[in-house]
Amino acid sequence: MRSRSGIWRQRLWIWVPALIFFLANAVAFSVYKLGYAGQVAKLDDDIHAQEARHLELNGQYQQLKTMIARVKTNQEQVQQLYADRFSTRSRRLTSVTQEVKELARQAGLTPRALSYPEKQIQEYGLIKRSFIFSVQGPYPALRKLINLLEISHSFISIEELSVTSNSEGPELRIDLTLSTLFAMTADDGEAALPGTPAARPSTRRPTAAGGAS
Amino acid sequence: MSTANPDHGDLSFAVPPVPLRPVSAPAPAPGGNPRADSLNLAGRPFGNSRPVVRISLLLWLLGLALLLSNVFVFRSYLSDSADKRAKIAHGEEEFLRQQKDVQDLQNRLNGYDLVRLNDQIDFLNTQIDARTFSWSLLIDRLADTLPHDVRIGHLTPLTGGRAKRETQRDRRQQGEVELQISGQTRRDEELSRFVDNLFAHPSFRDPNLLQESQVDTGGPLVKFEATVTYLPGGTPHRAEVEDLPAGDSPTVKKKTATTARTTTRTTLTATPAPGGRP
Repeated sequence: MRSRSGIWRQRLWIWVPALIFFLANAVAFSVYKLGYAGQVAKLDDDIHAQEARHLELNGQYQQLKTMIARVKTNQEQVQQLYADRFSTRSRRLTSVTQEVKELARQAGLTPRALSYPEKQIQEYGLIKRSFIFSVQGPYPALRKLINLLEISHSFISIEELSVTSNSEGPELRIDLTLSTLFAMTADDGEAALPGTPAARPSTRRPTAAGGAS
Repeated sequence: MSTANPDHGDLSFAVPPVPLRPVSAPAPAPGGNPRADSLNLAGRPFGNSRPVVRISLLLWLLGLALLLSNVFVFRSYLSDSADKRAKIAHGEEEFLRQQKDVQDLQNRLNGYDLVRLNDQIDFLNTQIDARTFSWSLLIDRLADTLPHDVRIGHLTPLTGGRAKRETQRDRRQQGEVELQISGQTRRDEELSRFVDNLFAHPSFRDPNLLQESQVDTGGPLVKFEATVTYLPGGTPHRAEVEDLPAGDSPTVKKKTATTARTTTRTTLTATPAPGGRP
């Protein structure tokens, strides 16, 4: 009978190649795990980091795009307001003056004297023209004039209203300050604002910023 | 029946009726040969090689499994790393392209004078606010608060250019308008009632009596100035306005109900400048 260790020594050709084969593969596996698997994980991390940067940049891109779209929309609306609502002094001056007088007449009030101070708002390419006048009449006439001015299609604002009662009768003295805006053109002194289509023909009926239809 | 073959030293196939290898050697006779135990005269002595074979087989199998795993892992590593490197390279290109797009957009945005545009829009919005401000509604609401003996002589909403520039935007966003009121009354307590009424009315806030002065005009007369915050909006009252008789027509007073109009307004939206407004 052989001893136990003796049999291992005698059968070396059986187990040594198997052990070498196993150890070689184990070493290869360890080398992959310790060396190459880390590289793959790092590549994964790089991809994730790249995706995060990509997302951030994409958000920035969208934000800028939205902002530019808003700027464009605002510019278009401003241009539309200047062209359709304010128009130029030469186009609207007489018509708006006539309209103020006509509305006062419709309300039963007759302005005896009107003054038209004007102020240029160079910064925004506008001219502000005021209509200052006093009328005498009863309270309902005043309400009617206010109502007519409010429903007018023109861009006429009531700036100030002063009512003085007459102790002798029901009539009131009404001091009104109205104002309107004109878009400036090169003829009005300074050059019109760049991008302000002051001279652009208005092709559509104004619907916004002012009159109710 | 078979027995142990002494020529070969191996076991025969048949099982002997008694064990060939005694489990324990019989106790040596006192005074016997002490080397008799280790003595084995077989040409090829028996050795159990099955554990060796089994372990070897196991190692081969494990080694083979590891080999297969290594082959698979290495192949997938080669293909994965190639894919990932390609993906990273493509991503870098995409990133650079997008960075260029962002830079282009930023340059375009820098080309606009946003500060000027925002100021212009603020200004235009105040003008639109002034235009769409409903005086009819204000007068109706103010009439609700007026006691019998108080008369308002002057009424100025601080819209348009009159409002303080820094408060314009905040107030407009809240839809509030500052009102300046001056008037007169013959009884002091009526003035207090007027202020109380302003406090109680939902459309007015923070009334403040700035000054009052007694004027002698044949009777007691108190002139006053006040400010109040007005909250436009809501349902307008129906104001009854009597149409004036036209010409020589009989003075039939036609009651016309007019409501303060609902204004169509455009509010331009200010674009925030990058980095905030200066």
